[in-house]
Amino acid sequence: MAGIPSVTVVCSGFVQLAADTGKFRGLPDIHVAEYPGAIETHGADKIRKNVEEVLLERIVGSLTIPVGKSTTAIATGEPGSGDIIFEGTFEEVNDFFYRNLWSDGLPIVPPTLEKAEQFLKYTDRSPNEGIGVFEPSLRQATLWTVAVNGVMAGCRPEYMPILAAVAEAIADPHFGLEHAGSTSGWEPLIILNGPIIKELGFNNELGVLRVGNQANTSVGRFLRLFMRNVAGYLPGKSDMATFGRPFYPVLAENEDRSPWGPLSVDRGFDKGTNIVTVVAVMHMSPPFLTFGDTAEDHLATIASELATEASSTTTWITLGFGSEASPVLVLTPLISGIIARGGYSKSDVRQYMFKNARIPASKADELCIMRGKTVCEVVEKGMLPKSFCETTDPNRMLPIVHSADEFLIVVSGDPMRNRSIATFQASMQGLATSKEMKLPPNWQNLMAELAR
Amino acid sequence: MVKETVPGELTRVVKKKVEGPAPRKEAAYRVVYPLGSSSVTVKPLAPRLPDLRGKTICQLWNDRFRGDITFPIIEDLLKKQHDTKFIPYTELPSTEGPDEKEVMKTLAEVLLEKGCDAVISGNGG
Repeated sequence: MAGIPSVTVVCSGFVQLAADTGKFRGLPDIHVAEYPGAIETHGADKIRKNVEEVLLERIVGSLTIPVGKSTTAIATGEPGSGDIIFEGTFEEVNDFFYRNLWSDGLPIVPPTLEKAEQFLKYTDRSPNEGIGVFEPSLRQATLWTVAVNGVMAGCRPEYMPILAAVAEAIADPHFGLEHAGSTSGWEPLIILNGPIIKELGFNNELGVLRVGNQANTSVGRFLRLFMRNVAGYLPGKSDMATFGRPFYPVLAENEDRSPWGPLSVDRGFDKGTNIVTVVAVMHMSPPFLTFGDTAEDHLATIASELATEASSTTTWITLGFGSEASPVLVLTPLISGIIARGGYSKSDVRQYMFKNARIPASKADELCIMRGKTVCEVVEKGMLPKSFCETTDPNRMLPIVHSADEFLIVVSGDPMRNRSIATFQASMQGLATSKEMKLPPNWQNLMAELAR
Repeated sequence: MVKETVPGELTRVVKKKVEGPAPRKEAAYRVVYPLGSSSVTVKPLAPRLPDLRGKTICQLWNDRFRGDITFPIIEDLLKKQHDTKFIPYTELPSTEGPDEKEVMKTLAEVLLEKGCDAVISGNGG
C-alpha cells in the first residue's frame, strides 16, 4: 500500500501459508524469507548462526532482486453460483469434490440445483444476498453459497436459518476468523438457543456433543466445510493446525431445564429469540465431577477445575494477550439446579468464578515469560487490566478472565449427571459472537408441514 | 456373481443367474460450485531496491517467535555489511494484538512518515 518493498520472515513450515496469505491479498508473489527450523526450540547461538548463515542472505535478496512479472495466477473466470460444474454418479461427484479439496474427507451430498433450492424455501431472503467476505480467502458468500454447503454437509433444508446465522457470526470481525489457521488448531463451537431447538429436533441432553443426531451433527459439519470451501482454511495452506480436531456438533442449550435464563438473554437478546453463538474452542476441559448437596460444594470444585484448566501454557499466556476472553462453562441441569437452589443467579456464579478461579501470579509469570514478558510487563503494554499488577507480590492470586462478565454459562448435557465442562479460546481468536436467526414470515406453516 | 454361504463351509462366490428386471442406471448428479466468489484483485509488488547501502529499514514485529533476538542480529549485520539505518520495532506498532486491525489501517502512513526505504516484518511461525 505504501509502495515500500518488504519481506516477511517466517519459520520453516509457514512459507506456503505466507504465500497463500499474500495471494489472498492480491499479492501472489509476496516475498518471504524462511528462517530454517522451529525458532522457539533454538538457543541464542543457533539463532545467531541461522540468521548469519541463512536468513540474512534471503532477506537481502528479497529486498533487492527485481520483481518479475507475476507467475502465479489468481483465479479468474470462476463458475457462477448456479453454474453446473460437473455431472456424474454419486461416487464420481465425491471423487471430483475430494480432488478439488471441496470436501472434508467424508462423502458429501451432491449439491444439485434442486437440493440447494429446497433450502431457499426456508428463508425469504434473496439467494444473492451477501453474507460477508471471509478471511483469509476474501471470498464473498451469499445465501446461495450457504445453501450449497448445507446440502453438502447433509443438513436438512429447514436448518437454513441456522446455517445463515452461523455464517454471519463468523463473518463478523469480532469473531476473528482470520486467526482460525493458528497452530493451536482451535475448532469453533456453535451454541444454540431458542424455540428452534425443539422445532428442529436438536439434542440438548445426554451426548449433546456426540455425533449421531442429524441436526446437531450436520450443522456442526457445515461450519467446518464452509470454513474450508469459502474461507479457504485447508491444512498446510491457510490452516496450520499442528494436530487439529474434528468439528463439534452443535451445543444446544436445555432452556426448559435450566434454573436460569438462557445464554441468549445474557448475550443481550430477548428470551425466546433464536440465536446462534459461535466461539472458538482451543481447549476443552475433561468433564469434571462435582459432589455434595450444597451450591458451595459444587462451585468450589468448579472454580478449582477452571483455575487448573487455565494454568496451561497455551491457555493462560494467550488469554493474557487479548482484550477479552470467551470461556464457556457448561453445567448440567442437575448441577445448575443445585447451585440455583443455593441462591445463586448466573451473575452470582460468574462473580464467584472471577473471585475464586485464580492462579498465583508466580505461575502466571512462569507461563507468560514463555512469551518473553512477565504479567506486569504485559499490563504495562496495556494488554491486561491494571488490577493484574497492583503489586509485584508473586503470591497474589490472579483471575483467569479480564472481568466476570466474560464467562458464558450454558445449561446442557445429561440432565442427571454431576459433571460440567469448560472451554477456552485464545486471546482475540474466535471470540464469542452471537447472531439472531432470520425466519421467514411463514415459518410456522413450514413447521406444520414438516410435522405432517 | 453372488456370495453363497453354506453352513459349516467357507463362503463361496458362485455364478448365479439374476432374475428380475435389468438394474437401473445409476443417477447422474449435476452439481454446482461450493465456493463463494473471489473478491481479490492483483496488486503489483513494490519495486525492489537496487541495493541496501545507506537505506533506512523499518522493523515490524508481532511480539512472537524470538523477533527480539533476530531483529537486533539482522540490524547489526546489515549495518556492518550495507551501512543501513534502522527504525527499530520498538518505535513502530506491534502487528499482532487486540489493536492489530486498527494498526493495519494506518500502517502504510506510519511507515512513510518514518521514512522507511524497506520493511522487514516478522516473525511468522
